[in-house]
Parts: sequence; structure tokens; C-alpha cells
Amino acid sequence: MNAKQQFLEICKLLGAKLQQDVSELIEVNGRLFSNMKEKNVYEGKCIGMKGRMFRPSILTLEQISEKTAQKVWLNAKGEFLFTCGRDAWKENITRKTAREQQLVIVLNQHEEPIGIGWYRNGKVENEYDIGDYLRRERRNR
Amino acid sequence: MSTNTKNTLLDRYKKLLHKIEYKEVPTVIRVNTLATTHEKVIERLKKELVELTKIPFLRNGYTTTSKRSMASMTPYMLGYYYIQETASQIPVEILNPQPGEKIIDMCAAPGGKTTQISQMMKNEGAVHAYESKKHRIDSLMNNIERMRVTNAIIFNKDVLEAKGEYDKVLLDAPCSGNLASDKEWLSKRTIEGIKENAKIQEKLLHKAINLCKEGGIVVYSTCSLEPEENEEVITNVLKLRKDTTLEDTDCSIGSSGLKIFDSKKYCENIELTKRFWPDECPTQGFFIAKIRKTKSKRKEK
Ligand SMILES: C[S@@+](CC[C@H](N)C(=O)[O-])C[C@H]1O[C@@H](n2cnc3c(N)ncnc32)[C@H](O)[C@@H]1O
Repeated sequence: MNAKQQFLEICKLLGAKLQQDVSELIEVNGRLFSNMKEKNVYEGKCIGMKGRMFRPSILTLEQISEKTAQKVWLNAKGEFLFTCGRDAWKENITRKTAREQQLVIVLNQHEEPIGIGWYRNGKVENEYDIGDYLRRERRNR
Repeated sequence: MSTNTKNTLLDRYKKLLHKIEYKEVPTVIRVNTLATTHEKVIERLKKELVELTKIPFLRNGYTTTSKRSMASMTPYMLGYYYIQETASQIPVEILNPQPGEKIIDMCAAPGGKTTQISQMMKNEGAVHAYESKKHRIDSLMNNIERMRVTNAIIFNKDVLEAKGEYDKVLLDAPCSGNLASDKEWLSKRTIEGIKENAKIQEKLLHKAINLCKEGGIVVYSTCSLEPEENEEVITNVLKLRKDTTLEDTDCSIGSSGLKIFDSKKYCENIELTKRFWPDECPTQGFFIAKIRKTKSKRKEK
């Protein structure tokens, strides 16, 4: 799957209909952009990156969060675990609007989206979180 | 390094009546108005037990009181702020980017100033960010994305190969750094090394002026305190070019550039440049010059 297909896949799994003309999206080195004119390494608005599953940019994550009903909210402890790349436990979940086995947007107590996970067996399995690039940078240093 | 060179470097500051030593400064952030507002960030960080104090001469700068790392909090990951020292927020304030302009950031990674330029442009117009080192491109991309910049293009190449004409040019040049922000500084630097850097800086400054449109602005900055990398670079370049003048930075802090050093007299109006001496300013060491391009022609001899 390329980045654009991965992007469409998570939107579908989250039941989020974005107003994004996907025909104009361009992929460079696994990063997906809109408003790109030349093929530079980075240009315009970054939609996200290819990964095991699509890794949305902050802007995209917020957009999807507004358009999906599948959400789970975590307490501070859960937020910490999740943004460190870990799963969140049952006791970390303060609220949910999702069913078992659904892909969900994960939010903290301040209504801020912090990532994407699978709601399974009462837990949230980390699929992507906003601390991801920090950990990648640390590894590359 | 020999005690000799060490003393030479320290003696130079002494001659200029300054005492430079390693200095701890509080963490300073720049609130990202592309993501949120000042009020919201103040409120949000209060919940993380961080108090912010506005820095009066900066548009978006605040000192923080945090014991925790400001780079590990959710608001950071969401791009609500960038961690950027006081003095290093000033060059872009002086450049004063406007929405709709076309601006080049000649030495961009990790993107502190690129993202600040886009913020002031409200993401309208274009900023071209050049960075020659491949391993520094990732952090530049990540910061641009995190800070919600949508009007930037990154060029992973030597800016000496850049083409085009820009309304404004930022040259935050590679430099020798300074002792106030780097404990190990004295053991790493020599006068020869400093002079090597100065040669590169001169080349880059000529290029900066070539890339600037008539009537446009070039801001030159370094985090070095050495006259060779600052007043001397400005003097050597500007005396070869008829198409430029130094302008007042309109910056309320810092002191004026050196007029003379080691019996070398610097160019006319050099006192319009700014020096941020870490022993007298609430900042790290820094140097900034604002240059106006008047005519698109080199000086005829
Ligand atoms: C002082 S740092 C820039 C800091 C940056 N402006 C910020 O505010 O985050 C200088 C950068 O310029 C890059 N550089 C040096 N020479 C260059 C050249 N000829 N073309 C493009 N980039 C260059 C270096 O790799 C380094 O990342």
C-alpha cells in the first residue's frame, strides 16, 4: 500500500469523511502532501507519513478527530503511557464512544487528540501517537 | 588545546571589557500562533504547572518555570510552542516577514527560524528553507510539520546553488558558537578555526545579497561573539558592494556592533549592528545585522 491508500484506509476504518481532494495528493519518500508543485523533499501541507499504518500529521489527526465518532479518552497516566508509545489499560480509560475491535482516535483530558489505537479487550493498543517522531529523532541522533 | 590559545580568546573579551563564562538561562518558548493563542497556551501550561512570563521585546516569547522538560509535554508535541532561546528569536523579528512575501532561510535546520518566519507570514506566501546536511533534514521536516507550517519548501542542497529573487533573506550562518552556551567551547576553538568560518560566512553573505531583490532586506546572524565572524564579515562584504547599506535593527536590547577591534576599523554605520553580550544581556551570545539592498549592481571599481 502506498501512503495515499493507507490514508484512505484509516479514514475508512474511523468512519471519517474528510473534505480532501485525494487526487491532488502527492507522495515523496513516504510523506503525503497537498499543495505540492515541484517534487521537493517537503513542500506545502503534510498530510502524514507511510508506516505500518498511516501516521497522520498533527493537522490531519485533528481533522480526523473532528470527523469521527470512534473515540477513547485517557486519564493523565494513560496519556503519558500512550505518548511514550505504549498501550493504555482499562483503568486509564475515562470515557469511550467506540465498540470493541474498532480503530479509535485517542484523546487526553484536554480534548486534544494524541494518537490512534485499536480498542480491544477493554484496552487501547497503540497504533500511532504524537510522541512518535520524538522517539524517531532520539534513535537517529 | 593549549592554555595559550585559551588565554588569547579570553583576553580578547577582556580587552573589550567583557567577561564571558558558561551561563545557564531559563527555558524560553515561542508560542505558535499558527496552532493556538497566547491566552490558551498560558492556561494550558498552567495545568502542567508551568508559569509563563512574557518577554516584553519579543512578540511571542515567554520564559518558563518548568522543572520538567518542556520538550516532553503533550502541548509541545501538538506544536503549541517551539523551544527557542531569547536572542535567537530576534533575527526573524527584525526581518519582519509579512503574509504573501517570498522569503529564503539559507541555513534552516532544525527550523526554529523557518517556523517563526511562517508564523509571522500566517502561512501565506512562501518560505524556502535550505539545508545542506542530509542528517539535519529529518528534524527540519518534523519541526515544520509539528508547527503546522504549510507554506514552506525544503531544499536539501547547498544554498550557494540557490536561484531566484526574494523579498527577504535570512542568513543564520554556521558559526563557532560561544562559551556562554557551550561549556566545552574553549577546548574546541582556535583563532584559525574562527577565521575559516569567517571565510564561509563571507561567501554566504555575498550570496544572500545576490538572492535579495532591490529594496529587500537581508538579516545576518550568528551565535558567535568573535569579531572576525561578525563585524569583520559585514565590513569585508559591504565594502565590495555598492548595492547595500546597513540599517537600524530597531531592537531595544543589546549593544551596538564594535567600531574597532585590534586596530582594525570596521565599516561605516557598523554601530547599527547588534551584539548580545551574555554578561550584560538576559540572553545567550548573539550578533545581528540588518542590511538593505539598494541597487542590483556590484560596485564598479
Ligand atoms: C546555525 S544553524 C541554523 C539554525 C536554524 N536557523 C534555526 O534557527 O533552527 C546553521 C545550519 O546551516 C547549515 N548549513 C551550513 N552551510 C550551508 C550551506 N552552504 N547551505 C545550506 N545549509 C548550510 C548547517 O548544516 C546548519 O544546520
